[in-house]
Amino acid sequence: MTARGRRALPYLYLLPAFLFFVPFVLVPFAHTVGLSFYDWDGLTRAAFTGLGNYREAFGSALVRSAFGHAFVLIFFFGVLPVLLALPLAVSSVNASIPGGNALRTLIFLPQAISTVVVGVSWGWILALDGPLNAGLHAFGLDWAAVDWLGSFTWALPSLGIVGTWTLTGLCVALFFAGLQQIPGSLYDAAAVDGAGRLREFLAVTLPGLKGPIAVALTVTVISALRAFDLVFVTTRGGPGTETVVPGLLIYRRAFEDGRLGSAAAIAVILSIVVFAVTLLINRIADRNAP
Amino acid sequence: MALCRAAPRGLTAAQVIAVISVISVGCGPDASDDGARSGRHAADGDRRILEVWTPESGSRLQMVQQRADQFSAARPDVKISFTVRDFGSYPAQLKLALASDSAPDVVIGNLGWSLDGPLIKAGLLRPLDPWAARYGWDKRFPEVAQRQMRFTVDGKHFGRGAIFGIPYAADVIGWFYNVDKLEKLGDGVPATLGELESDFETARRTGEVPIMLGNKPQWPGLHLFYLVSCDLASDREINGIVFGDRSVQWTDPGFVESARMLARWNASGYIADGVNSMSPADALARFVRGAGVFLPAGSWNAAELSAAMGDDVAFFLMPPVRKGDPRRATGSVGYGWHITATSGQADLAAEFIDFMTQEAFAIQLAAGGDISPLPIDDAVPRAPSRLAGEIFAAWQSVLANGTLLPYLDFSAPNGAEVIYPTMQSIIAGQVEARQGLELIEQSRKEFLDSQ
Amino acid sequence: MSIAPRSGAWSAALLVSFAAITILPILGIVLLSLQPEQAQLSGFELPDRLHFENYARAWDVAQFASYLRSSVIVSVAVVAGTVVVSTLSGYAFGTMRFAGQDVLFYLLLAGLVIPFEAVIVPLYVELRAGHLTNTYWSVVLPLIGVNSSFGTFWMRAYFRAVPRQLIEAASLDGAGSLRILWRVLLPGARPALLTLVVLVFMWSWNEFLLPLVMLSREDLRTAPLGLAFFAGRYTVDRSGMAAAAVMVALPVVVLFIATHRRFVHGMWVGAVKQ
Repeated sequence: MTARGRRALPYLYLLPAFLFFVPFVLVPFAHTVGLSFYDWDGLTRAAFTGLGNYREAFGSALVRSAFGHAFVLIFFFGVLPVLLALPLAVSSVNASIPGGNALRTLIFLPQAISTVVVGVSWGWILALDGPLNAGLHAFGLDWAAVDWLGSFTWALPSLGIVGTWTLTGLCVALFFAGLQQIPGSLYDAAAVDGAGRLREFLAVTLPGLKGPIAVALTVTVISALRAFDLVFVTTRGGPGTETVVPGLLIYRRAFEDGRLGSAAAIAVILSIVVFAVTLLINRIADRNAP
Repeated sequence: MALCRAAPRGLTAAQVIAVISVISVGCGPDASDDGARSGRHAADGDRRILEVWTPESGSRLQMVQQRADQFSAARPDVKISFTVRDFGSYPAQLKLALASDSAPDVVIGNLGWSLDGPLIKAGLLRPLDPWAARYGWDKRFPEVAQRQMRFTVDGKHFGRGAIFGIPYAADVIGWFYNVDKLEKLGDGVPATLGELESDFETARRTGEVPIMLGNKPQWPGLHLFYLVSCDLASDREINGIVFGDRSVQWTDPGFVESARMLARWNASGYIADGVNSMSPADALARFVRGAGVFLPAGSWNAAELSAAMGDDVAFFLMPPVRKGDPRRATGSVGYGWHITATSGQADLAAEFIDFMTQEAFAIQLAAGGDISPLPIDDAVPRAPSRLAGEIFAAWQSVLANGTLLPYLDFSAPNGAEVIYPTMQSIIAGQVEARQGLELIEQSRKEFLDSQ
Repeated sequence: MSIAPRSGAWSAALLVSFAAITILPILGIVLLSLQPEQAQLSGFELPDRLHFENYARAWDVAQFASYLRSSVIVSVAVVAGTVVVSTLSGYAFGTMRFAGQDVLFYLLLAGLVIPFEAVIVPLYVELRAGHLTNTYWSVVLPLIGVNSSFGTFWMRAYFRAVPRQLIEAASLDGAGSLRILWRVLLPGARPALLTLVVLVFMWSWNEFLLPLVMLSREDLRTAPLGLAFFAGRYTVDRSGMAAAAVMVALPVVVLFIATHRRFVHGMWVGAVKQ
């Protein structure tokens, strides 16, 4: 092979992947940015509108609350699962529990199930006459048996809990793998120093898990910021506008209302938020890396 | 920019990918130029195929298809091919189909701005005046229907201009009720708004659910609003909103009063628990199983209700404020038949549409328990069930009195984003009635300004 | 092991109770799918007998055969495409040195962070212009594109961990790069590849937004779509809806359980390689 050919070789290997990535991900993304400066109904000619869509988005209470709801979901999809997964992973990583592997697989299972199935199932569980309320009635907690997904107060947190249920297993798996990487010598050193369990956790375990925690937060936060599937299948943004999320607005404006330019602007804002949060998480993790 | 045009037809997928890969950043969107094609001409052997799209379902769909079969029997050289989509997905799906290169010939639209407006503005539907003159469509329908059939060709004004849609069936919103339960309330069938409200109170006191309603998709709440606004809002107010009269606003007194009434009904416990997570189908199923005294719903539910409940269910239009006044009803002449701009068989399509909208079909619909925009001679054989008979009579009276009011959500294309959720919030007491209506008016202003 | 052994009982209790909470909703849906059609149930009651006819009903009424077939076609195609392109590019990134490799890699990685909603609108418009909407291409091609970000990342990690001597020895023997990949590296890559296959299959099968927008023809719709529309139309038939839900979830769950040991091992291996 010629020297030239040998230099070109790696690029040839990259070509197939980029042949799919560029036209179907990168170029459309660039187009979204371009489209966001236009007014377009998808059928007739587009009209240039400069920052009009962005002005409308920032000025719209609905768009602002959509992003607000997304941040609420970040707590339920990301923070809560991480907090729950830490003790689960830590306490189970060393104890040899019969069937521990199987149990960990079980906890991961919600990840493998389509969000449509999750949405449809939880829609039944949280119904006014569904099993959750039946259980509450059985325990005499009648006052607590509300219309979860129809309540202006509880619809969003309910969806949040569904997210917690779905994502905790993933975090457990990530932390479990991460824990196995922490060198035993660090723990021995801590033991020699007379560190108790809490000290050990804070000084050795937590710093050692910075990487997996960052990955877990990144994945779950992106999940929360998108959340289209779950909302579409359960509440479609209701009651009122309590569960409207950016992904839903984008879909609705583009494919139901014929406001593609506005949808694109919201999509761009969403992307910026996702990038920013991801960057932030990984910055913090890097700074504190052992 | 020339580079930004849609890829010309006839390229393979691989070529398209290659072309797209070369497109530079920052291209603006381009209009699909599919609409400028010469008409398509489908054929099946010796027969010509007419492609028809419809969102109908249930018994009405059956009747439409039966009538279409009669057309094919009279014209053996033509085959009618139906594509059916559910009501919720229909608007999005129809737009996609009309913009594609497999666009149908005939489609059923939805009057006003909710669906037809954008399609007309995009030049996807054809004005029907030449055929209207030939077949007499402009004289066939009563005055209340005529206005709903028209749109200006530039798609900017609803209610005047060219004729775009020819209606065949009608619907009206009213109160279905459980005959036994109403009897038990002891006051007979309510004849005024006041009597209806006292029935709600009595029902609640005796442990019944007064109003069975499922508002999960958010539009049923608006239908409840329609019932009340029949009584409390004026013709001018309602027509003003629907047909774009700027001197009328959502915050006018009739609407504020109506919204406040709904909020009061909810606060008084008249509306079913769990209303916001219940679908209309669920509500209907519960009503059938004996939950709820009244079911506010559209007349299209008649067939299903009478099949399930027989003579245990009956119907009345919103009772007037003052005893004896003519009843007013919100409803529409349903969907309209349209001919698409790209169809190469417009004359055949017009013939088909004329067949589907003749009095003969109106009579068939009535026999099937449905209603139509054409007034029918009383002597014609009619309704198979008590319920259908009541609806038919109610409809005839509305036509005769000219008291049909159009749907308010005909007035804008994005009801789902503002009108429906806000109405749901108003009913649930989450936002005060006037404040909520201001939000709706604000969004309407934005829409009208953009026209 | 790294952490001093804890009292096994507490850990077991914690894990078991959490696993129970996780499995409860799943169990509930499976039970619901076996209840009689008209049952209006609230609790986790055991059905009087197993009403498998709910599955038959969901199958017929909702045309699930067609939906499942579409899902299989899409998922298999995406897995095949992703594995091939990711292995090739991961190989290059993981074993070769060339100008701009960092920039190119991070560019590809951006695909992991770009939300799909930001891409879907122009993607739809372009594919419609190319007459690819309402074909499987409109779903398969973008999914390969999106998944190749993760796939490349994953395979690169694996290839980076392979001892250099192995590759150098083979190339000294005169083997070309492709030969090296095929003969020397791939055989050992089974765990990593298996994990990739399972993950990509799972993500493709469960994909909702893309087919929702691209596929409006009934005969092309994928299983999650079919379920969403079925549940939307037949809200009253709860056990039928549950049966449909189980059918949609089953293939991925079965695949996952069948491979879980290797899969977990593969994830562990992949995690170590970071």
